[in-house]
Amino acid sequence: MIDTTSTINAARNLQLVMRASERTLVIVLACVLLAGVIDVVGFGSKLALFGDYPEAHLRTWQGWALVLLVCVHLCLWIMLLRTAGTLFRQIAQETPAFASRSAQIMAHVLWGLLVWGLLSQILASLAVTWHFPQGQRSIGIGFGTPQLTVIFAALIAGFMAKAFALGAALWKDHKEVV
Amino acid sequence: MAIIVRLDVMLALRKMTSRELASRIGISEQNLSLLRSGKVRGVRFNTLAGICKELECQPGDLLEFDLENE
Repeated sequence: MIDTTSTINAARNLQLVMRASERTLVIVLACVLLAGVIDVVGFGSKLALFGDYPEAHLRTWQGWALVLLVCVHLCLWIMLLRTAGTLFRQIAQETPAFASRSAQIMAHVLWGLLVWGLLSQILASLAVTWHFPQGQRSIGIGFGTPQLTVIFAALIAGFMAKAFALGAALWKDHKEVV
Repeated sequence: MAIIVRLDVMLALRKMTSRELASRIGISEQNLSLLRSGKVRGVRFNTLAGICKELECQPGDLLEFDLENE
């Protein structure tokens, strides 16, 4: 007889971790939006400095552009954590067939995060350097360890979807044998 | 299904309820009910051995093969 108790308990714990992380990021998102509303130029300049751009006197629309780019990034991460929480909840509820679908959605969100990560670099560099004199504007794009990590995670999540589908079939079979 | 489960007959002969049998062999009453109605895909040998031990019977007393029922 296969004992699924430890798997279900682990899934419940991970569901709680994902939910807490999601709520933390929602608070961060709210803080970012609030900082933007209070002082979009100052906050935008700090974001530009954080992104390895020299502190420049940004215009209001540039500050908002950077704030919105950060917000979209945070929203994608919130979506990823919510999907992961749903996946672990479905495992804890012993419905692995649905977990397979959640893992597939997670893989799509991770690919989306990768594409957005690259796109947001371009948009951020464009927004920060838009007001620079001609010849000094730039478009930046970087592909390094963080991007490779996301690719790896997306591939793993895609494979997990197939593994969960197989697990669901085996689980159903197991339940129908007394 | 071609396999017919005669568990009801044996329970009646031994004057035992399905709840009592389920608790004695360590499976849930729901699973035993599914077994009685033949709505399972299989039975483990240790479950079958437990039922035979409690009802003092042979596996052939519990299971019947009827090709026409398939």
